[in-house]
Amino acid sequence: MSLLADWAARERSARPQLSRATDADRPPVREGLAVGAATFVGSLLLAFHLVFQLHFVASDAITRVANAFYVLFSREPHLGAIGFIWNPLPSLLELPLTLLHSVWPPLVTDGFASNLVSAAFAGLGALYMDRILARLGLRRPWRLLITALYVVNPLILFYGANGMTDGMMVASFLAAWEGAIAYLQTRRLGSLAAAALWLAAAFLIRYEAVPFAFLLATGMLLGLYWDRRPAPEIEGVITILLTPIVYVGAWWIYMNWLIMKNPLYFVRSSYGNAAQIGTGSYHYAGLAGVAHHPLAALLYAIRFTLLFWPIIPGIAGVAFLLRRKRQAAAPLLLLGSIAVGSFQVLMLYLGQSAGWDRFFITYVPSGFLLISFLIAQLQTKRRALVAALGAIVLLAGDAGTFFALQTPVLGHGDQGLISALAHNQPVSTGLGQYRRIARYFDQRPRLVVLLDTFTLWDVVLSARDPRQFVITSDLSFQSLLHYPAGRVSMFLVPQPKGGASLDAINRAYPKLWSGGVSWARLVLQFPGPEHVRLYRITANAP
Amino acid sequence: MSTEVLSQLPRAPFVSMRPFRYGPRAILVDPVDSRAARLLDEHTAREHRVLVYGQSSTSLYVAAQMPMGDASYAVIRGLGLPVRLAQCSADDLTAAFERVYPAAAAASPSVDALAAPRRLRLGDLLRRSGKTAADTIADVLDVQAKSGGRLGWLLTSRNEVTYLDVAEALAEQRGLPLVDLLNGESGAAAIGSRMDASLFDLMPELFWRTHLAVPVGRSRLGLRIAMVDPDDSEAVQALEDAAGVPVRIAVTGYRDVVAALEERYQHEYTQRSVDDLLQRRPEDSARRTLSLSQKVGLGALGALLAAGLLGETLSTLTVVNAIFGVLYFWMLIHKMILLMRPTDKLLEIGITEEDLAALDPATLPTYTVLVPAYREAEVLPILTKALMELDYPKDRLDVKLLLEADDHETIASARAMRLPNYIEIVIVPPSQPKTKPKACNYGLSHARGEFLVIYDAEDIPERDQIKKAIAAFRKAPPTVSCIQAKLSYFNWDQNILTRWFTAEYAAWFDLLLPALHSASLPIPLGGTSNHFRVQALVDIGAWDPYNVAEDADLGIRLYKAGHQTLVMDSTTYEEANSEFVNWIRQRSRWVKGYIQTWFVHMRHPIRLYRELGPKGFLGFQLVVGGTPFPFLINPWYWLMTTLWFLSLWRSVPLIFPSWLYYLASINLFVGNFSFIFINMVGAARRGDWRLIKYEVAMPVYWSMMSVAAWKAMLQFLTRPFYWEKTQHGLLPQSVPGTASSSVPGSFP
Repeated sequence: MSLLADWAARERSARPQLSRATDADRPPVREGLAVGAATFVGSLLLAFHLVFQLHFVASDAITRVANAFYVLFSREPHLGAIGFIWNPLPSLLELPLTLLHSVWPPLVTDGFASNLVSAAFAGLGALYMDRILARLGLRRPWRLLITALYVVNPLILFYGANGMTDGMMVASFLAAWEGAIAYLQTRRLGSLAAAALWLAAAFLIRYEAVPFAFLLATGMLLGLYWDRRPAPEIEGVITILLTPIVYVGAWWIYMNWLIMKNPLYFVRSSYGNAAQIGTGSYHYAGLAGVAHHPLAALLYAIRFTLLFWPIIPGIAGVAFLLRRKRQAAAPLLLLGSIAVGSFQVLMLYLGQSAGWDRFFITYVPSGFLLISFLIAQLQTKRRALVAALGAIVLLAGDAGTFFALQTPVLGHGDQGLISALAHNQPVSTGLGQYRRIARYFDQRPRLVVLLDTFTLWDVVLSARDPRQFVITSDLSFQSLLHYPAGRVSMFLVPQPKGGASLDAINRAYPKLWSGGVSWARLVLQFPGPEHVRLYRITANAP
Repeated sequence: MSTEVLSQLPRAPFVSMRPFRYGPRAILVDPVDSRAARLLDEHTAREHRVLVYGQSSTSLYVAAQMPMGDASYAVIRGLGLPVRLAQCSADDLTAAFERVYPAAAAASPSVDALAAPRRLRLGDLLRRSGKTAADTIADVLDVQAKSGGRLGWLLTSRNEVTYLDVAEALAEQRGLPLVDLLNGESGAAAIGSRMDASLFDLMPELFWRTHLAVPVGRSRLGLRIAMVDPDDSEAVQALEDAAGVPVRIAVTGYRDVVAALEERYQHEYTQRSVDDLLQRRPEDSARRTLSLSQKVGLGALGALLAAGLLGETLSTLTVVNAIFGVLYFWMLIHKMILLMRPTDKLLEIGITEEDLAALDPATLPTYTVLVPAYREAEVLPILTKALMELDYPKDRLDVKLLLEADDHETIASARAMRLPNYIEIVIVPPSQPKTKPKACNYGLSHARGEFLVIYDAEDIPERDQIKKAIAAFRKAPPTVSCIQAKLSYFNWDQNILTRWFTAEYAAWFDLLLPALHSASLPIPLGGTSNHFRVQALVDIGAWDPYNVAEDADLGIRLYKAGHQTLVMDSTTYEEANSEFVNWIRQRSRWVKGYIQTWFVHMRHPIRLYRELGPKGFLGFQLVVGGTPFPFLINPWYWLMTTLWFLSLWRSVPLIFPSWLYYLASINLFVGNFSFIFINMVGAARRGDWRLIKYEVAMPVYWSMMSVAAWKAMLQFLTRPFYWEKTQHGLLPQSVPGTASSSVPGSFP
């Protein structure tokens, strides 16, 4: 064979799979869509029940809606109002829904836009779970059963319905996982590109995407290496897999620098995670002794595997299996499973984590994937028996989640709530006080009130005219805060304790709330736990 | 009862009694039906020069040397059936008698046996004359048994014998005279003196070229022609019909015919290569850069802009900015949507190993390969090596190496190389404009093939590319007139520039072109490795010699004329420009060509819209306009962004109303990301994994494109036809494939 032909032949061998549109090697598209749609509807019904019957609104969810709301409805509409602390994708997705708030106000006032988005992600998560199970080789009845068990897991179910970003994160991880596994199986670039783009999307939802992407890429590297892929291909695949998330990360840093004048604003902001932890408001006994103690931090993260205990036998089983047979998808599952837990170990060690149960939500999908992988791999004569056993384990896992959530340590953050929901009792989220404040301003539409939306966002959402308020994201906010005379009629300020001490007014004028600023005269204190006070700005203000 | 002679024409028509080749497998057919012939006994037939060559239920078909002669007439009358009479040459009759009567005794003689009774075979004749060895003949006969072809062409394509050797042997075999047009007296000059130029006018040039015949004289006895293939009865018949006199054949060599045709038609060839398109579709020619209405329109636009800038500076800038921003956004999104589909789908026409195996080699047609070269003596060895390695019967390759008459160095080295006979040096006579498309047109005038492909001198096509093209043409509907192969670079690993360049090509040929093809949008052809049906190419006026992106322009004109272009999954490896200045020159020529092409076809936007349809029109804007546009416009945005950051000019935000600001941000952030990412996937699709990491820095390459684009824009306005020559052979080791590390997808 001539050199040239030889060359062309080798060229061919390194090419990825290209297929015609009619290729049979496809995931079960219709089945996935049906599963996803059913999950979406179910989650939405639950959300409806939570929000409108039990009056439960997750404050971290509604604040994302508020951020989206400010973009279009504040005094100075601009995209930057979406905020630069929390990842922007949830708010971006909720943005179009806020346009409908005049048609149906609860989309904004009860933050239902966030529930809609999280329910959609719950559907996506179920769809991708079903697809992964198909890729792992589970037959339809089993994968439908396991997907159903996944969907009804209390953590997954709750976070799919409550509008929080944790469920969205899980769905985007599952989608990235599916793309990566599909690439290893079929070598189709579309799958690889999808995995890469989902990782980038995950970053725009939660920062936990960074360790997940890193470990997923490591798993991919190992999988390709075990498949005896040539080094340049491995390098290329990893580059493709990580380019979008790195680009998006760089873009986010750049945006922080461009608009907030600090590239790491999202880490170091006076409202950020670190600052909130710093107020001590999230401190509780379970976290004591964890910070700066690596072993304790590790044990803390391990203890939370009890949220979904099958992850432990899952990890052990897959690791054991790997000793006998190097299965390319295994490292993807194993490393992906421990990503968020490891990240939490680091954050706990640094004293930067509130140690909530939801930070460990990824243990649930991980456990499902690992156990399903084991089911698919154990090719004994009694496959049905193995699958049934696996399903029983997963069912027991779901039950474990349900009970763990109601214990004080493992249910940290949700315990009281879950117990209340389990007994179908209404929950108070303390939003009532803000609505009463909003009514006050509705009756005085000529007042221009400056407030920090960090704590008082619901006043803006509930008010008839949101343009009555000068809010944190307004471009003139800092100027008006420091030079309010003649430009702002009132300051609305919460009592500086706990998280509320981060309120911009409290940081600029620490003594204002207690009456220690001469040019601000107390008008009234609104009833409610935050002891919100309204001060009039007098003529001798700066 | 007396015989009624039905053909009471003033003169009976001429017929030929020579066996001819027919059909796709070129089966030899004898026009004489031997059963009918035996209605007359041998003696009578030979004596009166009369041959019954066919019969139907109602009449007999009779050929005679002198149909109206008394003796013949008597014989014919004696046959007793209505007769259709024809005239036939003495040579033909004698040969036919030889075939019919000796074989009459045999039970059922085959046509081939009839064709050459008692005749020495060509191979034996050549061997006997000492021109070639017996084992060579045996080899070639083996090849012939497998892949068909004719012995003479098979031998000459291997440089075993010369064309004249074959002619000599043929002449001897058939008992025909031999004419040596080139060396008879004093070389080429002899041709002119020996031939009567007016005789050529009997037939169009295409006739002489396709039948490889030239007229050499006319006498009382009829027209004398010299031809390469004396079995070409179709040609003789046609000539006899046209001239109305018998045609007498002499055999000559292929080179002799080519030289004679060149002598006779050179002026015409030159004219056609320069003017054909201009005369047939002047509105499609880039000879005139801007039409009057375009000049007026541009002038008015410029005046409006100037007035606006003077009067309402900010609003004017905002409007201009908004138009650019929206156009940019549309192109970004449209291109992204197009490019997404092919990332993991095979949209190009795929030819499998089975498709290739199913090709019967005997049915492969003559394939013309045009290789325009200018001052490229150093890459000729690559070319010959690549052509020799092509997996295609060489006897059916018609390679034209197109060299400019003033390029003495390349001509000299090409001649010194003793190229294989199937590579023919065609000297393009000096004329303006001296461009590659003109050379290609000149080459097209000489093409013998049914299909044609263009390669650059430094190209290395994959071995089976031409076979794949044939398979693709046969698979595709007849409206497909062009098949574009993909291009990539063998020196991708030379430096960062060649890596980026290769990555860009991967996105262009492996993503964009297949996407355009699958969306039925016009495809701007790549400079080389485009395979054509020759007829279609001739019909639309071939290349525009005045366009410096003749390839892209041709793609648009093919689409306009209703021809389809497909992309084929086969690659040609070229040498990437590895040097910055040289790269800028090449790129600016391409961009200038795209600008030129855009203006040419936009002379009548409404007519273009009608010709291309709404989808094709948008595709044209996207691909031809949209290729240079972002690169021309990018510097403007960079300037704005920089000024804004440095806060030198507070007005920047004023010309970006917020919606435009967001749009421009999407253009910037999403645009850069998606094209980097899509390019990466494009490289992976080719298996060029090693390139992927370099694509992270593609925006640097794109900024270089802007430099080239502005150079092109300025040159478009000042020197529209100037051809910026690309220098090849900058690679240290000139022949690729010698080191495995030079293959992107492979690994040591």
